[in-house]
Amino acid sequence: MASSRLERIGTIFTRVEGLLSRGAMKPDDRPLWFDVYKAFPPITEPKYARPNLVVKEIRPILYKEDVLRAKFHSNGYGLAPVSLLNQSNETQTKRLVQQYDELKAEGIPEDEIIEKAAQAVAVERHSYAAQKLNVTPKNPDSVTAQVLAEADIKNIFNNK
Amino acid sequence: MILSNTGCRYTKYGFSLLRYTSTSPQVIPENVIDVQQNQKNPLDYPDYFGVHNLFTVKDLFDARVHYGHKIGSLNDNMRSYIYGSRLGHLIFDLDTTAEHLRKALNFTAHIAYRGGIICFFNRNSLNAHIVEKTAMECGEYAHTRFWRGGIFTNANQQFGAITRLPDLCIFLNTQNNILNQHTAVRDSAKMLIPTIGIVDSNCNPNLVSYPVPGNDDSPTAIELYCKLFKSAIIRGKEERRKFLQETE
Amino acid sequence: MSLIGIRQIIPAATKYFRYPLTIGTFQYCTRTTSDPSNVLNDLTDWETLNKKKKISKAMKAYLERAKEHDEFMKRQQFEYNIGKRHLANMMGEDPELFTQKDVERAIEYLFPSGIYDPAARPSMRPPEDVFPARKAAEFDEAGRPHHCLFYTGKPNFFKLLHDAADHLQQLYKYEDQVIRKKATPDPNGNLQLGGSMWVNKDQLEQLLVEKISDLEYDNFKVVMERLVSLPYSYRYKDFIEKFRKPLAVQKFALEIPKPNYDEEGRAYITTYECLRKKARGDVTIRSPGTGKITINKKDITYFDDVQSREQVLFPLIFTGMQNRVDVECNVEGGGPSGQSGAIRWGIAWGLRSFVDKDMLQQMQVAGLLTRDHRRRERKKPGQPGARKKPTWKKR
Repeated sequence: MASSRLERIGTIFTRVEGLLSRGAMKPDDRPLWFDVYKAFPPITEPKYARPNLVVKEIRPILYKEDVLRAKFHSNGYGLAPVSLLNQSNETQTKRLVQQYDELKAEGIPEDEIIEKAAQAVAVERHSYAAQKLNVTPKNPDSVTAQVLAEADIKNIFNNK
Repeated sequence: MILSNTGCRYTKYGFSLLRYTSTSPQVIPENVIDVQQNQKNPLDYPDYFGVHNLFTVKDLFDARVHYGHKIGSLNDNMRSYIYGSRLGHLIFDLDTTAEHLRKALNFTAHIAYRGGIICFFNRNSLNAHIVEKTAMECGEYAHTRFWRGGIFTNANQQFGAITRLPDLCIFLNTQNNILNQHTAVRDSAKMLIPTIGIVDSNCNPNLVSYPVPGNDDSPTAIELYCKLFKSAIIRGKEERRKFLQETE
Repeated sequence: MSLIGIRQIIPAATKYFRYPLTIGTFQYCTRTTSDPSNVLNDLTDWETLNKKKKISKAMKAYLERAKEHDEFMKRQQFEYNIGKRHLANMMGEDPELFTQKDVERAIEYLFPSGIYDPAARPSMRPPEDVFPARKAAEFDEAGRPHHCLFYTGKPNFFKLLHDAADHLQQLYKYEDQVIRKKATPDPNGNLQLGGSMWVNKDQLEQLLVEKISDLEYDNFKVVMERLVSLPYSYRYKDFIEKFRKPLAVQKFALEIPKPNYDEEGRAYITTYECLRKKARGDVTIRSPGTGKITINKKDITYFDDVQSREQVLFPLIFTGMQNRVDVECNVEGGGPSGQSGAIRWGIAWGLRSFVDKDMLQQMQVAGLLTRDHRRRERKKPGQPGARKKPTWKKR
């Protein structure tokens, strides 16, 4: 092809355009993508030496609850075992934050609230564990649900 | 016919007669205009193939497209696509991603409509199989292996014959490894081949014609991209089939 | 040229192009003066272009080359036929009924050659055997390649890897299903790979019609081993067996001779032409026997040194037949090493008729069934031996 191979100069479009307008490339021999590119140009011109005009600051993404989460974690309540069998249960931190909100609505003072929420969640987990493992999948038709229904968890290592 | 433009263009750029004064008719016959105007040009529609509705931002989120790399590996050219940093991990702005992805899908469908060769690229061995499979399913091409230098730039020697190069390269991952860019990105730009590339936060989008900022590592994300590009290509090809039938 | 002059004089000359009046003046204007936007806005749209069905450059070039090749082959075929007729006339036979076999016979008779390598001897073969088949066009008329992995340069090889990976995934899925259903694996579905091995690099290259590197061959072996190691790999038996070839043992398993029976009713088998170095002998094995060894009418003490005796005994001990067969040998020529080597091979070769398949394979692996073709290397002038050099002295 007659085109320049210096990919850092201009863009593929400007180079083809130059060839066409100066007659080095016949209009009927133009690349197949040329019209499409012309009709739907990219949002930013794909130039190699594109100046970075706007230096956008990367802002941190933080939530209100992050403060609460930090408090729970610093007191050592943040982590708890996760039951893989139970699809519906929420993570420990999420439960803690929910509990916190509930307790706050009841009007319990701020300094006790952390301890109380942690206790409540711990009690909840214990009662849950004490229950017979009753798995109720969200979506009874899903493959996971079928596997869980068929699986004999207690004797899983006794097979064969 | 030399003058094949639509009638409106013809009158607008009346001076273009200049080059054809000797051969072209001064008055265009009525029926020619009618035929030309009835023939709809896909380029006049913003979304001729209906690819914009293939996905929603929620789909992107579910496929974990928004996850970037850690902030330390950020390429400065990617800054404008970043929404923010969650505890050191970059998060893409999925609205921007969706806009770019729609543009890319539309371009892909148009190229497929015109019978262009589309080649999928990916150097991540985890996702190589699904990329090759996608290419096979939509009757296009894939290159997920070591890039021998000169496949594009020295094609006639490498393949031992004059070879038609792809008309569009889709990079599901523009990096060879975490440090180097895939040589095909550069070579495509050299050989005047447009590129679509999923660019992660550590990639350089400058040479990619249609960059799509997003996660290029997770299999779920790659699966989503593959599905989208596949359906865009299939839609383009379907229209092409119709067009070829009409002309025959 | 004059136009350029005008543009230089009147910088705004380009503006006048828009006036219809100037049409007459600039009727013969060249491309250089036309407005760039003019060309770009005036492009024929793709739909119209597409109607003139163009044949791609790639295909055009291929067709030209194919035509050239066909003509060349035609010429070669013509020359071959002429040559064949000449040979037939020389041999005094009917040229019409002269076959390729006759050609070979004639060449061997008319141009006798003592060259060791058969490939270097004179020959006349049909042109399609001599000139390798050319690759067919790898793309269609629009220039689109036929193979989806064409741009990798080794489409067949990478397609093979892709298929293997696909089968792996299918097998994982299937295994999960089986476990879920608690089904027992099919006892009949077993891959019998004992008697075969992976094709070697050259054979794989022939299968794929592509050159591959050593690294790629290793990758092929890794992925195939992985596929075979899965419990349900028998489901892709056809795919796997395409890349297996039988071990050498299996090849001559069919050729093992049946033993004869002597007047005492004992099975015996005689191996003639047991060669090693300059020794030459024949070995007879009789079964059942007591382990009696006779070499040139003497017992094993025919050989003075221990090594030679060990050589003779090795195949018997290896197969565990040392007390179950009698061995009689006649050997001449060469020294003790050559003679014992010849006997060793003769015993092993004869024992094939008395051992089972497994043992046969072990013998093959142990190298008992391999002829040792090494001969004495000649002495070279200017040095004391074949390789030995005189002691080096500085001066």
